Amino acid sequence: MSKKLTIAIVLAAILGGFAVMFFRGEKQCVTINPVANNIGVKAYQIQMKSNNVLYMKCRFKNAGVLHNSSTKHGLSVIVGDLLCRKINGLSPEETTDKLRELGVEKLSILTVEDDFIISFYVLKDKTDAALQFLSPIFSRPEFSTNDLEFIKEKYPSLLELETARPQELLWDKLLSMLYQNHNYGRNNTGTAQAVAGITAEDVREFIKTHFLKNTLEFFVTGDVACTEIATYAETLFGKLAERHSVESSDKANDLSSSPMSEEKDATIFKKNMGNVVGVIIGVRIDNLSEKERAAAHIIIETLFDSKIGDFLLGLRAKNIAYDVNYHFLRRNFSNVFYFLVYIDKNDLKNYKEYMEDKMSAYQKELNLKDFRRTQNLLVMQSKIGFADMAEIDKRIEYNSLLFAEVTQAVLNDTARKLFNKSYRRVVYIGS
Amino acid sequence: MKFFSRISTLLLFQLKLLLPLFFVSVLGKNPMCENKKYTLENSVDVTLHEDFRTPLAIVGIIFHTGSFDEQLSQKGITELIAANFISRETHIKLLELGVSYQVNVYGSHTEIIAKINLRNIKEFLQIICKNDFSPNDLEIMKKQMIINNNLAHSCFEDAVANEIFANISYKGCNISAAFNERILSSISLEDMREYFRQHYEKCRLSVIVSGAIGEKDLRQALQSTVNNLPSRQSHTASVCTNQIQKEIYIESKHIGRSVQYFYKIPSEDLVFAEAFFRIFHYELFNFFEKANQLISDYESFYVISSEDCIRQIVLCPKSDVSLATIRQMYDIFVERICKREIPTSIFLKIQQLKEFSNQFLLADLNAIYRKIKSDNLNGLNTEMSLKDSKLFNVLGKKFLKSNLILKIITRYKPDK
Repeated sequence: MSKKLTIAIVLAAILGGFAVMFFRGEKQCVTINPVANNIGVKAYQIQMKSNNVLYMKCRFKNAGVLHNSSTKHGLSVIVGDLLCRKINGLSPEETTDKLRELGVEKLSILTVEDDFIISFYVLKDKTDAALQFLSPIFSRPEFSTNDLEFIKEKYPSLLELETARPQELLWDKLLSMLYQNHNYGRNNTGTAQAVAGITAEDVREFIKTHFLKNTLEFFVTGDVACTEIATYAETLFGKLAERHSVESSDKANDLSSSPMSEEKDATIFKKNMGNVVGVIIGVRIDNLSEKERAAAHIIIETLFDSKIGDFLLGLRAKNIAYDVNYHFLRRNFSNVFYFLVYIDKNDLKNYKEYMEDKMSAYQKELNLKDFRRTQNLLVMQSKIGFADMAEIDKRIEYNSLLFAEVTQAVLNDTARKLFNKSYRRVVYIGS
Repeated sequence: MKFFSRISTLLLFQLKLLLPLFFVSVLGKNPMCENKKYTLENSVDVTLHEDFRTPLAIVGIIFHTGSFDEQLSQKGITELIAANFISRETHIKLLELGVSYQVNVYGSHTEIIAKINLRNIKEFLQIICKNDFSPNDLEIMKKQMIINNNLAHSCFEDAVANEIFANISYKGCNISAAFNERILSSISLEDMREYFRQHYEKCRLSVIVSGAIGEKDLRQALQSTVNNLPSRQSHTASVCTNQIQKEIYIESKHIGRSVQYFYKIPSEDLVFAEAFFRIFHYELFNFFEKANQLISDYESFYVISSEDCIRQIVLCPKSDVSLATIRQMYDIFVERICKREIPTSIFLKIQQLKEFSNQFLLADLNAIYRKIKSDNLNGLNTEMSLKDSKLFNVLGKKFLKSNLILKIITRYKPDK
């Protein structure tokens, strides 16, 4: 009997210990651990058990298209297309083939917004060879004038899409009103004139001045030790220069000289929209603490929930049909909340009145009990970990947000900023 | 003594509950298993991929009915149903459980996909099975669909998709994705309830789970919940005519220049087709390299119509390449594929790339879920590698010469 009890207690202690580890692990499912390395770049480990696959993300801060000068607006996009086209003297097709052989998948380059981001998946047992192959792109990219012209050839169709879609037109106009005389007020594709004038020397100069050790953040997700990540960082970025970054000539981080437009709203005429009208509301808030940002997420997710969101339920009660899209966008030096609705143009007058009334009401007071459910959901989701390696972006952002610490007072303070009419601009589009 | 006996029995019993946690925290390094498939007593198909890397699961509940099942007189009804599928009460319960979910409608199926903490799987299944389909706000939903359609129409986003769907078949019948406002307006709440009863309650149901749950626990969770639903039956197929090959030009300036070929692959050939097209793409890539980069890009994907597969090959020529040239080069390539002896080294290389690809497909729960769903829906339960050049040539003639059903050409004017 005592033997049975002894065995049971010992096993319970062992498994209980693992249970504690599990629960503690569950709370820390999304930890991001800094990795020390010999070359001084900011490197991070995001531990996620995986079979044999790693996900890597390299972010060069303030090298995105929003930080291009006005005469070279679109340069980041062109650099992105050229960067991995030819590596180590191979042709584009040979390069693609080689990357596949080396177990590199979903190589992606994102240059919109503030940062220049390169991400890819790689098989862990081929990582060393893959990174050796990729490392030259950061310091000595290979391309000819013909390659540059080839890339530029795709550009006009990109721009056509920009002007074809109502959402893009609304967004571009809204940004120009929210951020006058500032890079943030420009589109994230560039202009035809600027792109036509980009030379091979511009591309080389861009890489020399933006791909620097002290502007880089390197994230590795997977079942990988910090020491391994340090080696990867040294392989990929060992030859990068290390000096102070060159600020863009437009000084993107200085928003003091960038007021919002005097006009509170604007209208764009576009053909072929039939009876549909688009309305985008944008709010610019430059300074928000992490707690306020968390509160903003809670407010937005609650008010615009598709089934129980107060704002959308009110629209239905008024028999106003809608197609809705919203987002809270965090830029390096500012925040933008936008809410885009497409409605029947016969409902436009009612919608305008409704929108003004609601926004005023939200600014005065928000009842926390309506938001508790969303708060709990966001807290839970921020803890339970990844289903997808590429969720890292959301997790990195959410990891710093203090959902659980948002109180009624924080909610109301944030709501006063979020629904403040003076921070708000509206753009309409229709036929 | 009795007290200690009870305590020890209780402790041993409790250990059983801690075992899953043990797996997650310690054996999580590589506790990945083969897919386990079984059918419940009420004909629900279940596929489980046990994966204890993280304490969560992706759960997909799949109804084998979708927009392709719509009669012409009820075009759009599945979208209306999807918008009303989850009731407000169910939605609140799911939010409180910390579940994020989506309801997606496809041609051949409708899916509820959710990401759940492993501890809440059973409760999630209970909530979903007790969900009361009670559509409301029908007029608002219709207006919303009309708005969506007008928007897509203004951007020509649906132009190519509409042409594709107008020319492929589902269960032998032609279907069309073309939106019709008049038909939509005529659909009533009773129509929706009746359609739901006929197509959703009685259709084949599948459950796919990818995540940290063992087979026994999943069976228990499903048995006590899914048994509440009525028995499943299969649809009967309807019969229709075959298509003939067509060529369509789309002039919209919003769609880039492309030449697209559509091949119909019968379902019994799908496994061969997978293997064939892997090598096809590799050869296509090399062929156009030698032809001095006539194309700036190409891609291929396929539209599934449940019983037939449509393989789509898209070529995006450079601006100085005429339509006649790209057609001629592609025809030369197809001839070559049907005759050329493929070296063994190419077969081995393709096999290696496939093995790499499989590893990426198992990288995370979302990827695993998508692969399982795709394989289940396509009937691709086995993988095949091609190593025989003669067989490859035979398949080339079959897929590329006999089964071409449609060509779509965008931003080129027709050849004179």
